[in-house]
Amino acid sequence: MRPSTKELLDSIANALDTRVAPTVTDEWAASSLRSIGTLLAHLSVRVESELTILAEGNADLRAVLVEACERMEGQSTPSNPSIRPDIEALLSEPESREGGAIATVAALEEESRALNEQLERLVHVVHQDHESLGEALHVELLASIRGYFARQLEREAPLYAALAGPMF
Amino acid sequence: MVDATAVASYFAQRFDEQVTVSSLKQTFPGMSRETWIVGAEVGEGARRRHRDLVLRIDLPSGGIVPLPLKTEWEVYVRLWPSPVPVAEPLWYDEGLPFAEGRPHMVRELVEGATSVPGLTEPGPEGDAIRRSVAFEHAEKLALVHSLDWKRYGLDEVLPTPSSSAEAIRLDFEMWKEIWFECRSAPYPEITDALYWLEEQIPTDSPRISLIKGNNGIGEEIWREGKIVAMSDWELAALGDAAQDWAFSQGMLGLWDADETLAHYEAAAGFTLSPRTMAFSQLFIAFKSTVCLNSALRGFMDGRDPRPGVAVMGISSPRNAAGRLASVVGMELEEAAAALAAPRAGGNPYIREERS
Repeated sequence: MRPSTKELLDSIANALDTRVAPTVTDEWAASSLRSIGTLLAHLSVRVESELTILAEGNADLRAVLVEACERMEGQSTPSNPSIRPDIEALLSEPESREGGAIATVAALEEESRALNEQLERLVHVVHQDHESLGEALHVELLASIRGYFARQLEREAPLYAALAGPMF
Repeated sequence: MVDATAVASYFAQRFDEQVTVSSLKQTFPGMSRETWIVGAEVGEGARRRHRDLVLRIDLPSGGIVPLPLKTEWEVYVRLWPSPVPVAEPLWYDEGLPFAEGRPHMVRELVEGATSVPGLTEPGPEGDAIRRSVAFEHAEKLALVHSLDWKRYGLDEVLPTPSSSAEAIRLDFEMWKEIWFECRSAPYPEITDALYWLEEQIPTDSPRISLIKGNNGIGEEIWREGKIVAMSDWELAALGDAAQDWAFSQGMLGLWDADETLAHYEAAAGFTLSPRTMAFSQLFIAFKSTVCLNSALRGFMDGRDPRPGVAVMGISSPRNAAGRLASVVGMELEEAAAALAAPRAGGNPYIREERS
């Protein structure tokens, strides 16, 4: 639909910035306007990129978790003995886009949260079970996890760059 | 709803006298809690007198700092008879019809300002002001950090480390716990960084000190070049003094940092290790993230729908994640230097007006 959501958001932001803000003298109202401006800048980027970022991030994270499970096969993880089967169970669930279904932000967000919860549990295991995993595997797993962190930060950078305006 | 009528009626009950509110202004920005400056005429006839008071109220969602206002109140009460300058605390209450039952405290207003005229002036005159302000602030922090906190009962209301070697660890554990309880979503990159940070916790604290939390220009009340009251004790703790320097919001940039710290150490009677100073900068970055992100809970459940809360809450953990992840594995001093690059838009705690 045109105008696009981004075009509408940018129009609202522009009107608030150029027509409304200069007339506002109350400092709390002016502060709200600044925050709104920052949020609109974020939304303007988010509305066109969120779906892609979530889908790519989830796919990347799935691959990291699959690889971690393979590496941990046969390894003892005393701090969380069920970590591997738990991750595998999550990975066996259908992906949001599987079977030709149309991915929605809400579904991808839910999937992202579940994947991140498992990744966080893996982070705990990698640190707490350093000894039983052995140095080499510990280092390999950490490198893989941190590689994902770096890629995800890069993917999400435009969303957060847009939030760099005034907080209030 | 806080308005002049509601405040007058409530204060009249507390003073047991007639009260007219002549002025009521919410300080700006004051995002963490509501702070109202109240001008009140109390009493009638010959007994009528003017009172300037400060009313501090929890947000409907509790507050951006995830610690109880009651604790801040108890810190004020204990500091009032001490050499540390604070405004006189008058009362604390909660669960009343006033302000929808929200916890609140009332204290006297101390005349002064949170800003210092001339601080940004260029040239020798500005330099003289900056040096004087940096040294005055250092002296007051030294006063706080060398306070005999046991004598004033601060250990009755603040978690107390078992020894100076544990001064940082106790606080670190507490904030880690708050993070995992209050965050808006899993952030595995911060979890990873916390493991590294925990391994770096210094154990060479010179003593257990009362620490103020956010401090510096914008937080304290200044009059004629001196700090006459230290305000906002919402992050007060018993811990390592270096943390306050890490949360001093640019005070070490006002004048030569080494000279300012030497002045502080002479006044405090102990020295701070560069490694602990570096660790504290990283720890404060994490603490700020905990505060800003935990406020998102109130935004998401509708108790605090302010857009500023959303901006702070969304951006802070991702910023922290990126910044902390980028320094994991470095030497602490190197990591702190890398983290020191200021965020665009300024520090969220810097305030312009008196509080």
